Amino acid sequence: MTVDYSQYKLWEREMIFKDQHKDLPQGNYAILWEDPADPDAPAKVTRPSPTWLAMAMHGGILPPVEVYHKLAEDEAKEGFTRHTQGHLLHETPPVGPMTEEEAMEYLVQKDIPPQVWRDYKGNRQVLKIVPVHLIPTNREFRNAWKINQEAA
Amino acid sequence: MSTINAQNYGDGTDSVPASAVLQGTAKAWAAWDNDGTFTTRETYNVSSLTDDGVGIASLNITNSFSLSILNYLMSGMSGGAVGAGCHFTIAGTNSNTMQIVGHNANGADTDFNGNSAGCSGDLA
Repeated sequence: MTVDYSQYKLWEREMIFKDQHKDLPQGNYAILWEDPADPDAPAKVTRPSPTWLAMAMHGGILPPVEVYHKLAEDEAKEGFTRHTQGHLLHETPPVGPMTEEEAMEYLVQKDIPPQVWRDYKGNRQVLKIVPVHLIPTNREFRNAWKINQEAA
Repeated sequence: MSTINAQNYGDGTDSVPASAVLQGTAKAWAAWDNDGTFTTRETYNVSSLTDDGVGIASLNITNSFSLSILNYLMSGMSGGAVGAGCHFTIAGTNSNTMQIVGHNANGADTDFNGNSAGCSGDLA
């Protein structure tokens, strides 16, 4: 059965999708990033939810990433208390199917702070999309992790 | 998909207003491991998780909340170790990200497997 997800609210779309798609695989990529506003902090690793990634690759479910930017702009305004444009999440026509690589680029713009992917002008590489197998599994020195600039 | 519209739900003896069901349901949740490879196990309304360092993870929300998450109920669990606990930190008026910090019985930030967290509140 083909579902027209666009007729449902965003949060309802995931409920419907999850009901029809079980045991989804982990993604092959992770976003490795450093926050220029907190240079002493360790590198962070962001991985997509398997459900979200599957929805992104399915297409017709997620809103354009610009919708999130619009909500973020509202939230940054002085005196913000409540979102008044949440309807954009539900009413903006969803984007089509993405490759896994495209989904990771969307996720960068959605879940990584703009000062990392948009505004940073420094010389360090503070953002990389990497295969998951390149992320160390030994966490003994986790709070000292930095992006390897030589491999950048 | 059909919709049942009712102001109250009951079992013939007791009833609750629909708002108790709609507002009392977790609107975003996730379960993950971060002792070794940082791995997401199950989620709802979470686009990604960020490994922020030892014991610290952030849940990034797909369908933003209406207000800052600080206004809502957050609950969670870090691992299954005796005495282990967790607390939440929210940056500013953030309606999209909740951060959970797991700690051991001595209060030190610690990586665990078997973490979970959720948030109940109004979605945008």
